[in-house]
Amino acid sequence: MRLLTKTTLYFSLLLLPLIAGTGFLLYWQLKRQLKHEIDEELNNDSQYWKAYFSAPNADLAVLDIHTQPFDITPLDKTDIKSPFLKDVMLYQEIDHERVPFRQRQEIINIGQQPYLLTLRRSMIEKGDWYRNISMVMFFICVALLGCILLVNWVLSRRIWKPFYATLENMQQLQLDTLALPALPQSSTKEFQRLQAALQQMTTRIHHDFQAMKSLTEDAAHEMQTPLAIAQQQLELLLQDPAIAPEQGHAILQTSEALQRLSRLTNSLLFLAKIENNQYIAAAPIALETIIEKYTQLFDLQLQEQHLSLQFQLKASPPLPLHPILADTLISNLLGNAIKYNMPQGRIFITLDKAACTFRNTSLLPPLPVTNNFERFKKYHAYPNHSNGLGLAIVQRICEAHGWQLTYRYEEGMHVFVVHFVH
Amino acid sequence: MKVLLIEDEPALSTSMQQYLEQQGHIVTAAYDFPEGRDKIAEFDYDCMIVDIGLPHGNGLSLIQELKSLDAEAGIIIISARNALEDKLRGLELGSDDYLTKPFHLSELNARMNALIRRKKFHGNNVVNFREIKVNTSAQVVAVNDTPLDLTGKEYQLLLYFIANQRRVVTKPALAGHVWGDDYLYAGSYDFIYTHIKNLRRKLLDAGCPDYIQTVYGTGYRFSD
Repeated sequence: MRLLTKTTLYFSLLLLPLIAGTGFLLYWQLKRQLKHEIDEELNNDSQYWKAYFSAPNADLAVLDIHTQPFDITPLDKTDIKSPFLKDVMLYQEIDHERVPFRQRQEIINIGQQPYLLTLRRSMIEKGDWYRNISMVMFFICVALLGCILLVNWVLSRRIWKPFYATLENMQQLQLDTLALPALPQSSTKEFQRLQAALQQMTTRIHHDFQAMKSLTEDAAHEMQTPLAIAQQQLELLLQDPAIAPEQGHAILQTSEALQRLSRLTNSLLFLAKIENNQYIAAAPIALETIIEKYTQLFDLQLQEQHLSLQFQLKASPPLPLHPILADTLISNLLGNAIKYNMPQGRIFITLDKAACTFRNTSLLPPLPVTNNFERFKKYHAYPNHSNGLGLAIVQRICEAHGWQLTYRYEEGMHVFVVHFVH
Repeated sequence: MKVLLIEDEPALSTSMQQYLEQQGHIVTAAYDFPEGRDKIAEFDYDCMIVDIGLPHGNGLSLIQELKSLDAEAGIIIISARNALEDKLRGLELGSDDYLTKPFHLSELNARMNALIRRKKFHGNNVVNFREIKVNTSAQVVAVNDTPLDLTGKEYQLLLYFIANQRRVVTKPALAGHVWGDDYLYAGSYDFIYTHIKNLRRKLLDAGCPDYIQTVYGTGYRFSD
């Protein structure tokens, strides 16, 4: 839920019962006041009639009046509570319906005879009053609520504007570009603090990124140059016709050891670069083309070992992967499947939108891991060019993209899976 | 062929110069940026080999310098930094190739030969070794004017051998050249033995002497 929606909602929830309560209170108070007034009037009328009847020259024809507002009837019993006020509903000819009346009954004596004097006031007009009043109240309330919400919304938008701008900026932040994002100015103290904190943080991250980047580059230069010198001197030495075969072989072995050291340096720096997010994909890449490329490249090794290779490549959406990382991922996994395979062995590769799976037969026992491939951890004593970094690199590539690399041993086959979704 | 070699590390410069001169090239060496810039302005070269990290300047600027002179020279960048940006930037500026240190001298030589062929003869060049004629534009090989049927890999091996004739070429260098550095992911490079054997057989059948000599313990030498 958006911040604005949330505050508006909370505001409405608070405002609605408050306004409804106020309206009800007002209505109730008004009603009580009106009733009190009518009762007062009825009392006055009653006083007036009692005075009239007790006068010596009273016209007793009045005793024959029997209407809704005024009624007087002789009474036998006198045990009625008097005076007695209550609300009644009476049928009215004009309106063809029962309407509310306020009624006052009192026993009065005319001469020696007790009479029941009933005075009534129609409350139908008063009812209209209530309706009108509450209607106006209601409209006022709604308008007030609307105004408050609108003002709140507009104000919030204005006040939160720098926040949203900052958020947008942070989302578009790219570490590899040199320019730091210009954060918008704000007069709100909290936003100023937020921006200052963000600015400081991005500057530091950016600085770390740059420092790490130049460190990997400088380290590469400083380590590879001496290796290159030694390597080339050995190559020249090999050209010497006076070199005996054993010496030549020793030179070649030394040269190969240097190559290994050089590749190791490259791999370690490569890992550092992946962790430093230096490989940002420019365009999505179709993994099936990379797989096809490497199966062609490794064709010879496949033939040498008489390995059978089977694909099941379903159309999958291109992945946001840097070309170098895509190459490394596939060449490592396919390379392992070939390197640790057995003569006449098999390799199965499946690719769909959820995962990429490499299965291969092997004479080697299951690996003692499922998903955490440590650096320099060699799972087999295998006399070849492994430096124990291949799977660690694959895992870092996966982690950098939110994917997961898992291993399992299934039906005599080593199975490596890259899960594109968790 | 005239080569300008701009490399600040004296040991590397000397070994490269020595190897290239043994293969019949004329090498001029420069050791820093100003010296490189002067040499570029003074003479014409067929090829320039330039390191990116140089004292008093950047090798990439020297490429710009050379390009501004409308020189025909091919350009090979050599760098210890295996940085993609450098590669792309170099290609953008007009360099032709990029080698990451450490590299085999035989590889540098082979790439330089291929580059000069492409640049100077616009690909229409015939590489000769005795009775072997390799037409690099049509990618056909003839022995005593009789066409020789070679696979793609065998063709690449032969060209590499001829470029580095009479020198010992190691198996790792051969494998790295023909199959690329990725071959190592899949294990050892013993498989190249089969290819060399096939190439040797085809050359012998075509009437050549056995030019491919095995140098025990190290590699091969292509020599008469």
